[in-house]
Amino acid sequence: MKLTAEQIECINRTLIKKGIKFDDLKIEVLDHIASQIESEMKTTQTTFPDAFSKVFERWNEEFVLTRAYFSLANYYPKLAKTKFGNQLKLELITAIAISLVLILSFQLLPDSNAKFQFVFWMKKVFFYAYFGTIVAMLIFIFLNQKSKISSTYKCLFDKRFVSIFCWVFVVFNDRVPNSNVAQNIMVLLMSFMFMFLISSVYLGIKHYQFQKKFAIQ
Amino acid sequence: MKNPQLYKGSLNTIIMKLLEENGKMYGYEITQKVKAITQGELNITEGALYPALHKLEAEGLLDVEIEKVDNRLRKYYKLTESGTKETVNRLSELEDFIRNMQTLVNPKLAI
Repeated sequence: MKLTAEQIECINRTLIKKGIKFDDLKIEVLDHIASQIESEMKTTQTTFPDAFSKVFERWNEEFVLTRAYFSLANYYPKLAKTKFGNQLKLELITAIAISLVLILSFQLLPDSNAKFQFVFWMKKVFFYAYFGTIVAMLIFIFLNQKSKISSTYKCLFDKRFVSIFCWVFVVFNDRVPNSNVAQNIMVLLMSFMFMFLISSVYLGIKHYQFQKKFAIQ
Repeated sequence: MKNPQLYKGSLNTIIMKLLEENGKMYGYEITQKVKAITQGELNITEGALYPALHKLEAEGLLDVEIEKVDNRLRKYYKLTESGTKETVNRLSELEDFIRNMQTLVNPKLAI
């Protein structure tokens, strides 16, 4: 027995109340729950409200609100938090890999002048990458301004857009430290910042792709 | 399911194998297919399935398609090109693991 549009809307409202407000996540959770309710109604000949309660009971653990990895103030359902976690873990692994390559390349440089030039050019590239990323992010914001579609990608993207402005002091500070330790720390920090810039654009692209797939329906 | 921990490390490979065989599948369909194949022995919970699907998607091994079915939207997962190649590697690793376990648990049969 297929659920009616009203019954689907009832599941939709319940999911929003439980914090599943991101469309990329809500589509699949709603469909899964609706399929389970249909199966429950068919096999046990029960009514929609009974099957609804029984199925939501099974999902309760996934809707428990837990603190997000990236914020002390935001709480999300476990399912959303895990999705954020997957994205952030991947970024962290990539950032570590990039920083290892850059740190090793830095160590292989023959003298202090070459190392100074390495950091100097890294800062210069970062300067343009930073403003390029801000422009790209503003384009995504412009393209999405009329859309009401939300996604886990958009949530992370919005938080990135706010935090990216905290780095202005790094971008406009063109001083290159002379000590080897300070230069190493700068290379390491900038590797992580490069990853932050790349992933910010990636999140914008992912949301835009999702939005296009969603809008076709 | 007697001990879910034993299956935990193979969940991603199981999902990829199913997608390789069936083209595209949605979450509920995957759980039901696994249940049917294992005759109810392996029951993938929602709490294990979706994090695994999202991880594979984040790694670029899965892609998604959205379709309207029965008054609602349905998200289908399918293997990407790199996902198809990776499935071959992971299945080979899983087969090696099963063979090694067989040798350890029952050395006479392994010979």
